[in-house]
Amino acid sequence: MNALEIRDLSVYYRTPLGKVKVLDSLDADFPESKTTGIVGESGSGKSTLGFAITRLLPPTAAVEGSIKYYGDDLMKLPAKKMREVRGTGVFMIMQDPFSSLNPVKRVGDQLLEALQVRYERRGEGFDYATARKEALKRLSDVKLPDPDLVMSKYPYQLSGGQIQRVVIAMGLLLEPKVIIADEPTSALDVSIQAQVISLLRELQESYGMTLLFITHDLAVATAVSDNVIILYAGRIMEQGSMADAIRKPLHPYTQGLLKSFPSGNYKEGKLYSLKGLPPSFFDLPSGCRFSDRCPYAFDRCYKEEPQVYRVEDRNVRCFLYDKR
Amino acid sequence: MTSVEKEEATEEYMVRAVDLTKYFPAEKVGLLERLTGKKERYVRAVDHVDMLLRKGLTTALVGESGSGKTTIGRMLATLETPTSGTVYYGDLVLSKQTLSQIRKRVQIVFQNPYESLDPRMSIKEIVEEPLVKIKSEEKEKRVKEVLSAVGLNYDDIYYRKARDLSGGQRQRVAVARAMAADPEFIVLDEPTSALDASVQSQVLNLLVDLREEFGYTYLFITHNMMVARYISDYIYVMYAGKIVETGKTEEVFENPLHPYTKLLLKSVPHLEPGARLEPMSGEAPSLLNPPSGCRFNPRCPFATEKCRQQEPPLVDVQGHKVACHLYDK
Ligand SMILES: Nc1ncnc2c1ncn2[C@@H]1O[C@H](COP(=O)(O)OP(=O)(O)OP(=O)(O)O)[C@@H](O)[C@H]1O
Ligand SMILES: Nc1ncnc2c1ncn2[C@@H]1O[C@H](COP(=O)(O)OP(=O)(O)OP(=O)(O)O)[C@@H](O)[C@H]1O
Ligand code: SF4
Ligand code: SF4
Ligand SMILES: [Mg+2]
Ligand SMILES: [Mg+2]
Repeated sequence: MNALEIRDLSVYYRTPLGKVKVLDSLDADFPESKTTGIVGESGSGKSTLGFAITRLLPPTAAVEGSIKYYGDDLMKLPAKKMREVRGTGVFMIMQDPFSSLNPVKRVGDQLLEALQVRYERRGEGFDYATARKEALKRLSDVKLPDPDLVMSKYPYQLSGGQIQRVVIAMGLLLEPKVIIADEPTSALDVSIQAQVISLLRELQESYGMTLLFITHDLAVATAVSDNVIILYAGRIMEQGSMADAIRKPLHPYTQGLLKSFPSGNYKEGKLYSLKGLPPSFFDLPSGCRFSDRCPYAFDRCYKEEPQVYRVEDRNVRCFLYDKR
Repeated sequence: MTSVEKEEATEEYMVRAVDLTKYFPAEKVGLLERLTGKKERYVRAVDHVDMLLRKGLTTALVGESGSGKTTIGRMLATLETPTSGTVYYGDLVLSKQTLSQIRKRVQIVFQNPYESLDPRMSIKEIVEEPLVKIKSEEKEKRVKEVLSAVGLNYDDIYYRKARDLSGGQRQRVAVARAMAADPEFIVLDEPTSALDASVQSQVLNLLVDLREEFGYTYLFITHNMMVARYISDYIYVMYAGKIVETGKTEEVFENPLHPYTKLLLKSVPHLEPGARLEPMSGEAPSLLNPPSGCRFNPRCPFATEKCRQQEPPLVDVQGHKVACHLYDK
């Protein structure tokens, strides 16, 4: 069963320089109670995908295609229904965690409100003492010291890493069916990052939650994900099992990312690096969007854009796999 | 003097910090509170640290968020005044009299490429900013030189605003800006954390090349252990304002001795299918009220009574230095 099914999804932004298509005809399934890593460089469209699913795109954006959440097309859902889905159905932990919190309300009150929403939707009565205990428990689950103290603070009184964890705790309190976590650990250092990642995995295993984990770090994605989507310049380049992608990356971009990871010491030699930089949406290369950086590019790559090929249970957008 | 200290004293170094300390006031205490005798409380961000940065080599500084890495970097870049301690730059001791002379030798690349460059300034303005008292034709020549050294084409980029550049380009501009003033020593504070692997590897290669060409000395601050291992010759591991382990990079990685270093290495995500992380338990310690004895003791699986009472000194063990009672003779 798929928690989310995305078909032919495109997102455009209107800008002073004209309209740009930031996501181009995405197809993706997110199987229930699995974690899918969404990996790509800065600006490749990862957050845009999260905002499209939760319908939180700015008014300057336009969307085409369909996003089905357990069969309901979110694009067609009335605003009121969508608000219900957004809390206890699909919850997004934003890349900028401050934007998820109300700056003039104490953290504790905001967590209790979230719990109230959950209790109401389930038709359960709200009991202050129980709710408070549950909130404290989640704050300590995300390794925040002195949860009592944190509850009494306003968001601006906490550091970025602490806010990040408050929002993760809020997401967990809502017990949504799907969590979209946008770079949830990039503001955290390695040891807290590891704690939060293990916590998310644990919860996902015990509650069967579906997780979309957005990150620019393939190593972090490897530690959390069952499946992976590799985005490049608004296109899905590779899609399939995370372990397979690490063991045997198919797309030249995925291969390049893996090879670029630092290992050893500089005295043992240069790090592998792809030439060039990711393209601007205003100036995409003709043909394959990776063609200007690809070590295997050949004539056809500059003329046509490759479609998606099915290879060993994976999808890959590259002519090297065209077996005609 | 121990043998290692003797060796260090004779070795050619760029920067040597002795007993470096930085305390920040934790809360602003008003006049009234001072008159009524309320005591000021301090964040002990850096607490009696010795450091030696060897000339022409790269020293990495790693440790948990909030452990004091940026504060050390800022002090060594002369942007922050130490609470106590002495810093030598070659033959000069940092003081009011030598400050302007030392500043010419030192540059810093800040932690966040999205915040460190003024988004409204043009790239030319950003890069030439540290160049004072230079004729404008010469300025342009220098800007061209350093931009091309970091792999950017002057004509393509000089007029653009920082906000219109990608993360990797901004980081190159920040490095070019640091180079423009012709420094000898550059502090690089998390220069690649915001970059993805393919761009990160470009920037790391570039830094290695530039150092070889211009003989720079780097202090490279990072929380990424694999990056530290790649880029550095020597490494310092910090925990809660203290150095807990230091030595040659390969020795520390091959034979980590301090329990914190060992746990840190285990919580690094690896590119291995199915690998699970082993998170460190417990919380980062308070710097207002650091744990007594060894600061790592509340989280250390080997802590004993002695650890809770006595602070372990940094001593020579198996070819490098470590501050832990497990290695007491
Ligand atoms: N409101 C907007 N108006 C115009 N362009 C936008 C807007 N929001 C994002 N973009 C552009 O759309 C592209 C995708 O942005 P998005 O934020 O989805 O990327 P991302 O993959 O999340 O990047 P990062 O890793 O830096 O967070 C980028 O080129 C960005 O500049
Ligand atoms: N100007 C300041 N005033 C008060 N406290 C400060 C100031 N600058 C830093 N601190 C505190 O000093 C400690 C060390 O901070 P520092 O920025 O050096 O850590 P870091 O190791 O660089 O962390 P990160 O990995 O998060 O960048 C922290 O507790 C921080 O809150
Ligand atoms: S289609 Fe061509 S350019 Fe694109 S990734 Fe494949 S080989 Fe490279
Ligand atoms: S001194 Fe004691 S508490 Fe500190 S790291 Fe060593 S064994 Fe652990
Ligand atoms: Mg984003
Ligand atoms: Mg820092």
